[in-house]
Amino acid sequence: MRLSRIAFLFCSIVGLTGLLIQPGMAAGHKKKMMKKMAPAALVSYKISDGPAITAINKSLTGKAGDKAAGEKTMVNKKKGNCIACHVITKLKAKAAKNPKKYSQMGLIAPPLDGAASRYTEGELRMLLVNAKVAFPDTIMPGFYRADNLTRVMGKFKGKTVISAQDVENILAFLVTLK
Amino acid sequence: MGRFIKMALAGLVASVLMSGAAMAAPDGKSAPIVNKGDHPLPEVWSGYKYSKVDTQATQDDEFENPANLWTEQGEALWSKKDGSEKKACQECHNDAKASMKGVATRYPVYYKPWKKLINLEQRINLCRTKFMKAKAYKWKSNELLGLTIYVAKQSNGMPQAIEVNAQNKPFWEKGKEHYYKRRGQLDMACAHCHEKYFGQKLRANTLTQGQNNGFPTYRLKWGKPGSIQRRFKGCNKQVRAKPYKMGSDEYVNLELYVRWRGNGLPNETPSVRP
Ligand code: HEC
Ligand code: HEC
Ligand code: HEC
Repeated sequence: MRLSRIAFLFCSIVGLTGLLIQPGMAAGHKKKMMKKMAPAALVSYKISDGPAITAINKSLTGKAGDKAAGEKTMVNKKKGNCIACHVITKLKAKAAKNPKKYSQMGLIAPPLDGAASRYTEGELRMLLVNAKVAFPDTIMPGFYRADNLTRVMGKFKGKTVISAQDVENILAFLVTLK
Repeated sequence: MGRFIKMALAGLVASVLMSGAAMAAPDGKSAPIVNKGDHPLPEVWSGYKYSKVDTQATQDDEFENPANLWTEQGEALWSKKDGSEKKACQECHNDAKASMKGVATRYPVYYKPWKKLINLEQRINLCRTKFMKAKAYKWKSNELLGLTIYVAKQSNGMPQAIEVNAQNKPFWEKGKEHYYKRRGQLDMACAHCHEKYFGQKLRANTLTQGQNNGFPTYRLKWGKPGSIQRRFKGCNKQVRAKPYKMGSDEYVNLELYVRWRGNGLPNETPSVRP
């Protein structure tokens, strides 16, 4: 656990500096490259120990999360798509009324019911950013990471699945799942 | 004592008979192909098992299978002269029902002149360019899909039969590597969906083992048949990974490995899938 955390931190740092400092490039050229690849540098964060798993205790944006927006992101197939794998019993009534938007909930992963009783807010933030820190073999995507990935399709290169504010919004919803 | 043995024997015979009656033939649809020892799948199942009953029925209905149009086109092309040599497949291969029987179950194979693998579509196109002096068909063309279905159909009911040997092993290894490698922005490997979670629901889809025993398959979503190579592209794109080209070494190696995973599964071309 400790080793993988150090490795993870190291990679994020290398990834970040790699984006910011590109030696040998003329300033103008560098600017153009940055714009074209548009990998808006990721918000940096600190990982620390939580009671169950590692955690990111500080908000990524400093802005309070919007629970309703978080719910939207969680069911959006192109964004969080959490319900592709997780059941959220609380949303079942809505799913029955709006089957198109909520589709069918997947059964691959443990239901998210009660997630906030199992993990602290900081730990949930960590799971959203990159669940592999806690579950190395998991199928769950890292939603806020762009480093150490293989053959990412052009339009998603250097980009995270969701934004830092999306993470905070989803978190605002997750902490209600006691 | 003698009576006891007789009774025990009778019991044994009865239980063998009964278990025989309860057990369906391992066809990958109602009973799995069982693997012992060093195989990633203890039980091998056809994608058929996970389809809705009406989708299964559409596949099973000899007259209603929507791929029939393509199968018929393939059959017609088999005896049609083409290219500057004005030759037809039939002139060299005679009756496909005999000459093409079992071919699909052992493809892709190592092809010496290329020093690498060749898959069924590539083999068909090679016959066209080399022997008929005709143009190679495009991957998604109705002609290539039709001929491939027609050829592969001749193996229906026969088990997938990839033998890993000295020649194809390096390519099998590469296919295996692809299978277990995470890729794309969503960072998933084939094995995540098709080995760890087959039979389970990913949103509204039931995941299968991702087997190759029904290709080219008629996919309801595509509204036409598609090759295994096209399916690979789709599965790469699903995880937001840059797909490879159809017929690329990467995918042909993967095709060999995927067919090997399904060894024993009866062929069922053209399958119908959601
Ligand atoms: C592709 C499937 C998949 C998607 C999509 C997914 N998860 Fe997960 N998630 C899992 C699996 C599987 C686990 C269990 C860990 C493991 O064994 O891999 C998990 C674990 C978790 C856990 C810990 C659960 C516990 O009780 O231990 C939380 C919290 C979580 N996911 C939240 C989310 C949220 C929020 C989203 C959407 C932003 C999401 N997941 C999207 C597959 C997924
Ligand atoms: C001029 C003769 C000729 C024609 C015409 C021809 N082929 Fe072939 N084909 C061959 C030869 C020779 C082989 C190689 C046999 C071998 O080496 O095993 C072959 C091999 C094949 C194989 C692989 C068989 C195996 O057991 O591995 C397939 C499939 C095939 N041909 C399909 C076709 C199709 C479909 C057509 C028509 C589009 C066609 N061929 C036209 C001569 C021909
Ligand atoms: C995110 C999950 C996911 C990943 C990762 C994935 N697939 Fe799939 N695949 C699917 C879904 C969903 C289908 C359609 C339902 C089914 O057959 O499972 C499918 C279908 C298939 C089929 C067709 C099966 C049939 O019976 O017609 C094959 C073959 C296949 N996948 C191979 C692969 C390979 C090889 C990889 C890795 C390059 C891969 N898949 C990666 C989700 C995935």
